[in-house]
Amino acid sequence: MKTLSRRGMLRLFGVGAASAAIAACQPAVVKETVEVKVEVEKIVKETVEVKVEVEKPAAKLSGELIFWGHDQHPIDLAATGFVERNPEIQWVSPHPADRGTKVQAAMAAGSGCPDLFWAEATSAQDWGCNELLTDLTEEILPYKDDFHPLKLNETFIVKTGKYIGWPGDLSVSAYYYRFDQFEALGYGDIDWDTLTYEDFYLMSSEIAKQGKYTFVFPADGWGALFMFALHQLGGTAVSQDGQKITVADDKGIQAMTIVKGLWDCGGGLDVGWWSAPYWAAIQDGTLIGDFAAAWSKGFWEAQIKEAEAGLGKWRLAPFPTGAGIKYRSGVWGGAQLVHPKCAKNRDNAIAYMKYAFGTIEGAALAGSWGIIPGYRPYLRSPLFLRLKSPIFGDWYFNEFWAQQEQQLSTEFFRPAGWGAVSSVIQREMPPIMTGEYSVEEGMQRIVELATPDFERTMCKF
Amino acid sequence: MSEAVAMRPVALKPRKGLARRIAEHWMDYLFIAPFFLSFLVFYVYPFGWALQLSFSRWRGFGPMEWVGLENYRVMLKDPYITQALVNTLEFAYILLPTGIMLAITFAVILNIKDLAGRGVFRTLYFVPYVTNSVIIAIVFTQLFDDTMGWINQGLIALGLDGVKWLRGSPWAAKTVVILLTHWGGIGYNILLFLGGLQSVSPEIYEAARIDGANEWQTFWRVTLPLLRPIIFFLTIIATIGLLNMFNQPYMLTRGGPRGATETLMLRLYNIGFAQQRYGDASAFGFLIGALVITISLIQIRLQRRWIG
Repeated sequence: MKTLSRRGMLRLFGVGAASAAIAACQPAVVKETVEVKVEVEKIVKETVEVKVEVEKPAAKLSGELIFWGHDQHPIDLAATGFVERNPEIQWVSPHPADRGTKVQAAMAAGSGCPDLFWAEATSAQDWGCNELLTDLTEEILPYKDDFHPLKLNETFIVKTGKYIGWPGDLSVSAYYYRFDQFEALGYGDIDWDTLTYEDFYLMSSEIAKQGKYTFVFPADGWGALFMFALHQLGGTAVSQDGQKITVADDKGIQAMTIVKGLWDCGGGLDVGWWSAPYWAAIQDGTLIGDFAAAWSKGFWEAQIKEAEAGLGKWRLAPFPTGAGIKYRSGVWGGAQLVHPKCAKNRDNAIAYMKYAFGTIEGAALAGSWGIIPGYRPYLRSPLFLRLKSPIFGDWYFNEFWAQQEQQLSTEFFRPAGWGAVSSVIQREMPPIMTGEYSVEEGMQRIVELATPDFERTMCKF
Repeated sequence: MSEAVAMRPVALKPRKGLARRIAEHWMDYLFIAPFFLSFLVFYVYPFGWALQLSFSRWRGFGPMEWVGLENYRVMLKDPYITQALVNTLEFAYILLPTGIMLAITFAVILNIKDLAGRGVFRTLYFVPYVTNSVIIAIVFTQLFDDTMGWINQGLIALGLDGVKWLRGSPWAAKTVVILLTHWGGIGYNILLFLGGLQSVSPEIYEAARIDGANEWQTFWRVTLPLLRPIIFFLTIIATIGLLNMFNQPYMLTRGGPRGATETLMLRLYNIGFAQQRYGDASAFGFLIGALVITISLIQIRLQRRWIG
């Protein structure tokens, strides 16, 4: 037998290694089915006093339905009911990290897109403007009266005249406060309905002298406060058609003046929003109130477990009022469901949207943690109104949110390019607060600094 | 006869073609192919694609639109580019000399003969270098938090006022970024200088001692000149690294307060990934690259004269 030469052995080894490498590089097909927790249904069943007729699905659905969202998403909660009604649907919810970038890459590639994506308003507007999302106009128009105009506006693309998303979270906001702490500090008889910002400044200032704080205001600025105030005044940072920055108009100046009043009163705690010191201040009773969205409740529940943190002692109040104030709420977040055009299962996706945010049963499941679906029949139902939360004790807090829904503006818009303006507002707020610029100068400066980014990200006609 | 032998032409070997030479050495090429393939796929192709992108308008979807030099013009007029450039240069030219001086100092101390616990100290100084920078940043955030940070709690315990390290004061935030960068990087520099010091022949020090040089003169006239090549190397490498600084400001402050710690790379990240302006970000990347190359070439020229 001829012995193998050194060169021959190397040749054999090289071919073997190359073959192994090629074989190892074949992608593995993994299908992941997520078991969605069913226990949330208990909350729904226990609190229901009146049986609700649920719509039956029209046609039998089958196949996959792929959703990309964060772990333990409300959409996964509603999926339990949807899959129960459509047992041949395979719900796939992989929770990919960096899903915002991934979905953009998938849309750019034209393949690998999820059927459902939970998109923030300005992202949905951006993608809708670039015709990446399925037109849902015919699907949503029959439901038009079941949603607040603000939510519908966020799914409507002015440039194309189409609706590209299904309204999801209501994103209504209010002032969370600990009534026991306010009573102890001598403010137990506040009429929150008539409280003005001037009253709030004075109250906050006095409370701060006693070592407590009534809201959060980080030293590097807090854009959310500005957006709340702007919403209340009936203003908008960007015009509805997304062609103009309007943040420096009279309403923008007045909104920033309100925020400066909050800064000057000294009642704001200088910690990062939702940072460890923030939660520590909530838990030890230093922070006894804050302006926050309805969807914050789930996160607050995770942090407020003890009596010292105010378990059962929290309440909600409308935002303060004052000259020029038209609305007593604000908008923060509030995503919608979209179906990218490059996804495969259009009919399944639309059926899911109609179920989760177009039926009371679906909305109840989606709303059982965190978000408040904006579907009005759900907001009027006992399933919503009779929910309780440990942080609010026996108080039916959703009766308040149902009223706050009426306080959403029809004049506040977040089209493509809004993100560029919002980030500059946050960055340029401190010098306005410290008096380096007057409010008028500061707002004009914001427009100048935001314009280049805005022009590169807006939805151009 | 001898002339005939002398005149006889030497037979030349026939020149082989390229294809034949490759065929003869195919095994060798096969073994070096993986590196070149991966180099082509992961360096050359992305570089070419990024170059094309820098001349196009593209936000991650739809077709790329050729816009020539517009992205470059837009980025040069970016309202925050000047601040980012100043921040980057401040970080680079504070961190560079202080980093080198501290590293030399520690290396000289660690090189002292019969120093007790030398091995332990060397390990301690090098541990931050091998620790994940994210973990270090998390610890620094806990240390320097404006409200509950341990540093401020210590200051308050001493009867002093706390400092708004991360969110309030621009220079306090810069200081924390500088401290974090030194903490993570100094071990590597110390190691290099220590190696350089240990390669110096003892006879040179003995000769200096015989000539009457004291410790300071020995350090300044003997040790430091012998460390010039290492200083040169570190200056070039560190400058490139510092001009590309991203991790520290991103993890600590996200560029705040008010952009005081936003470096060029962090601005690029915000434009590219936060705003999905990929064409602009790509152009910005090439501008930063040109800046780094220019500064490095100037440094090399100046330092070559210094080394001699």
